[in-house]
Amino acid sequence: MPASPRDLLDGTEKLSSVSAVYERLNEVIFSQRATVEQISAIIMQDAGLSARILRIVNSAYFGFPKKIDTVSRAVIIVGTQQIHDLTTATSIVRLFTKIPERFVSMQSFWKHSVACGLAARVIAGLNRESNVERYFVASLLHDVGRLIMFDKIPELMDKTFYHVLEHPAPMFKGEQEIIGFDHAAVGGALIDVWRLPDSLGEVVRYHHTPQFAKRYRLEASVVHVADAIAHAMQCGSSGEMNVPSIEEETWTLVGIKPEFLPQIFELVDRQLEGVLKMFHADEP
Amino acid sequence: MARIALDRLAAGMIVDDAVTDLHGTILMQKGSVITQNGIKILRMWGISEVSIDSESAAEHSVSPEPSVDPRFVEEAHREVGVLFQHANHGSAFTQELMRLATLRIAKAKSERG
Repeated sequence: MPASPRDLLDGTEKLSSVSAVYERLNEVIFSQRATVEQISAIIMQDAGLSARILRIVNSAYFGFPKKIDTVSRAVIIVGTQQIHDLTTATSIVRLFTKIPERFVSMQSFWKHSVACGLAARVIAGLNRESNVERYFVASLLHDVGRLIMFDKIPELMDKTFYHVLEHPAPMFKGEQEIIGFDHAAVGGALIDVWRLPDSLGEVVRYHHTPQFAKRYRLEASVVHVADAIAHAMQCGSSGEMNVPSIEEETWTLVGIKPEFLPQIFELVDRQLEGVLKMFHADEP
Repeated sequence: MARIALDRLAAGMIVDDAVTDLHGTILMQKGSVITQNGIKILRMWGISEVSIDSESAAEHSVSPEPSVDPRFVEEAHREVGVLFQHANHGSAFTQELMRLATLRIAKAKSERG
């Protein structure tokens, strides 16, 4: 029995091993002296990544009226931070290629995560947040801890599934009871190990319990609500069968009205298939 | 108790908190049963939402578009009941999510035939 989330992370691949470009991009962007030319040059070293970025910026996800045909134009128009966040997202999705199919298929897992990301991005947009892509990335990763658990402790996850079937409860509570910690804690620990931003770690760690988030409560609450929306839409699955319960104060903090929900459903539906394709597209 | 938007109100729902106009005059007492005529009156008074007893809200929630076979709607209702078994049913957001999920599932079923 693993004693802590960290115990599951031994031997986990580093982000840099999947995308060498990711690390260099990280350095340049955080040095804050990066020029568009430098950033574009780094991205262009990875043909697959360049193609994915061009697909993303030319998709319904951004909805720009004219075709963007070069990486440097993409960086100028979308912004360096956003390009960085999207690069992070595409690199991470590609890190996980297999999990035991008896839990969920990889396709279904990412469908749920992307639907959650799109819903969070729409909510952040409605609230006029400045960088909506970080909401997308945090949502994309909200259940990543579960991939580690399916891979590292499949028997305990089987036990958890049976436990919540016998004693109806949300999956994360079953994980806490059977394993001692939940996928949110594992995901948070993974993000620490990968040295991704603290904000991302906190949002992932508290996406079921945003009331305990200290610095990024709003962000965690948005992802919590977006998760419920993705569940209600029945877009894919990350192993949880039911819509999570959301406290009234969380809805209030997030600041959307029930009347907005049909619009959010519609926007997620319109973008989902396109975005899913982009994450796996390598050829231009 | 759930706050329900006026266009989601349905006949048979029970008012959980007296509805008043801007000056505090009571338009509907707590415990009144919503009727079609009552909805018209509330609309005339510019009321946007009403507190409704949660159980009666779930029971009488507006059913999806009439073009969908009621058989599918009923099946969808049951599935949504399971899907939302851990959800906070007193919330107007949950009510709306359940309505949308029911509509979505019923539509998918009717498309599959």
